[in-house]
Parts: sequence; C-alpha cells; structure tokens
Amino acid sequence: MLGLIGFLVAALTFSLYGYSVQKYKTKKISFDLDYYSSAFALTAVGCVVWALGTQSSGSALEKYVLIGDLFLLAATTVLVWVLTKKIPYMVGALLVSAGALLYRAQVDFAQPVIRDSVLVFNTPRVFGAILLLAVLFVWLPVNMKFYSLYIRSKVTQDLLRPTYYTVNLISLVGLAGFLLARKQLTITMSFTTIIFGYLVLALLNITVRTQLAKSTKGVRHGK
Amino acid sequence: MENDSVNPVNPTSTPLPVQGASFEVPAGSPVSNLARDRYEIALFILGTVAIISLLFNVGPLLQVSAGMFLVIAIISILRSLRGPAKPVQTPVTNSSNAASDTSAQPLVQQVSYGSKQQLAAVKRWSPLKIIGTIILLIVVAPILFYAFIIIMFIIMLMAGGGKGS
Repeated sequence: MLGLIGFLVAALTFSLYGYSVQKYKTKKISFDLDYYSSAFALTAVGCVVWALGTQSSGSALEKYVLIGDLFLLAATTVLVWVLTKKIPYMVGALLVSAGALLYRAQVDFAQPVIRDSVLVFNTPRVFGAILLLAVLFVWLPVNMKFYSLYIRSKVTQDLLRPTYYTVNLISLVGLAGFLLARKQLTITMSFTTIIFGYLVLALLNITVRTQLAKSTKGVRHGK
Repeated sequence: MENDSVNPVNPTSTPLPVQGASFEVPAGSPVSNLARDRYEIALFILGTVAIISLLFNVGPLLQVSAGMFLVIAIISILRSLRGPAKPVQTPVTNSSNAASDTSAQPLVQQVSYGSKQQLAAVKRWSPLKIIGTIILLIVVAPILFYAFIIIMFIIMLMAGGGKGS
C-alpha cells in the first residue's frame, strides 16, 4: 500500500509540475514548453504504471517495471529534443534509450521485488549508469534552461536560482535514488525527496507566475 | 547572477567585474545550465557522487556527500538572500573624455549595477526581495517542516523491518 500511495503521489506531483510549467506559455520564447510539460506527463504515467505494478508480483511486476522505465526513457528523449532541438541528438537519445531498455529486458534483468510494500527495482548497473547520465546531463540542464528563460525573466534579481538549482539537483538525486537504491529506507527517503522537491518547484513556479509577475508590474508602474 | 552586473554604458556588452564572482561561468553558454558558480559546481559534483554511491551501493559515501551537499546548499541559498555582491568601483579611463574635460573634477565612479532601479535595490530591500523571502518562509519552510515529519514517521515505520540486500 505504501508503494502504491507513494507512486500515485509522485504521479500527481509530476503532473502538477507539468501544469505549473504550462502557465508560462508565451510566443516570445522559443522553448518547446508543450514538449517540456509532456515529458513530465510521461513521467507521471510511468509512476502510475509502477503504482499498478506494486499490486502485482513475479513476471507481471517485471512487465510493469519495464513499461514504467519505457515512459521514463521516453520522457528523457523528449527532454533531449527540448534541450538541443537537433534531430541527430534526439535520434541518438532514442537509440540509446531503446538499447538500454533492451539490455535491461534481455541481457541483465535483475528481477524487481516488492518488499514490505516497497518496490525494489534492482536496477542493473549499466542501465543505472545510463539513467545517471540522463539525469545529470539532460534533466538538470533542461530544468535550469526553463528557469533561465522563464523564471529569471520574471524577477529583477537572480534570487531564486540557488533555490531552483538546489531543489532540482536534490530531486534528481531522489529520482536516481529510488531507481538505484536497494535498501527500503533509502528508497523511501529518495521517493520522499523527489516528491518534496518537485512539489516545491511546482509551487515556486505557480507563485512566481501569479504573485511576482503582479508585483513586478506594480513596481515598474510605481516608478 | 548575470544581470546583477550589467554594464550601465552598454547593457549588451560584457558585464563589469563583481567581487566574489570570479568563478562564474558566463551566462548563455551551454555549461551555464549545468552549473554557473563555484557553489553550483560543488553541488553538482556532490550530487554526482551521491548518485554514483547509489549506483554502487556505497552507503557511507552517500551519507558524506549528502551531508556536504546539505551544508553547501544552505550556504548557497543564504548567500543569495543576502543580496547582490558589492559593486567594484572603477575610475573612468576614457582618454578622449579626459582630454576634453580640463576641469579638475573627481573621477566618476562606475558601479556594476545597470538601472536606477537596481541601484535603489542595493540600498534597501526591494519589494521583490521581500516577496522572495516571504515565499521562502511561507511556502518552503512549512513544506520542509512537513517533509521532516514525514521522513521521521517513515524512519519510525521502517526502524523495525528495514532489511537491506
């Protein structure tokens, strides 16, 4: 039950983040906000699949885990497109994702298990290393690019960058944590971290969009 | 931090030097999204170490990197709340102006803040800064508090049966 609730809360959090991002939609900035937002929707779907997986066992659980991984890698591929906007990079990301998933499914498949209602992924190291690279060199830069383009333009000073950077990095360590960790406590802590991190980011996005934008207008008109 | 040091003469030109900003990666470069100043570089390295320790299942390394990460993250966030770095005062050395201006006026001091609005923000707390602090206090602090309670609750739950493989 703990796993089910956790994954569903994570799915809601990713959806909330995707929604908060959509509020910044503008034609002035050439950043694929729809794709960026849909990457988080894909991650949320992956979390729902994993949530369903916690209610199964054996070969059914394996399938759920692989499908969840597929959604995560699809989200990463979309983020590669958002970050680079170059087809060769996206095709490369697609090939690497497909290869990694195939490797995970056929070559080095450590069976995931449910231990005390916590899903232990038992992620193989090669697949884990690919996830590590994806998290650090795709997810973090694209999230910070979103900050630079949208959040930074709403505030006159770069006050929020350390908060965004730190929370992003903590969340991504959490994301890697629940996929790579093998101890239940570490998995649960990582999960809490990622939910907490993306919740803070979503709330900050909404707050900056609604409150700081108004306040900036007020300050400029006042002067 | 890039716009804190906009050149007042030409905002699009290279920013003037700011104290304490010697490790900053230029904004707009591809690397700047990965890490910009020394704090972000340290956080990035510690985050990488934390993920690698998760990958190889090295608990002590994870604990050390997480602890250091927390300390540097707090320093970084507190530093940003303190406000922008002090401006570097540099005398104007425009030779043509100096030649035409024969009066013995003191040298004009340039500061590294662009607009009047930014100059005013140095002297007092701007509304944005107050709102930023309020966000941190009203939004982030309670979440941190609840997260802390949740984590404590989970630790209590897991304390009896947390077997590691």
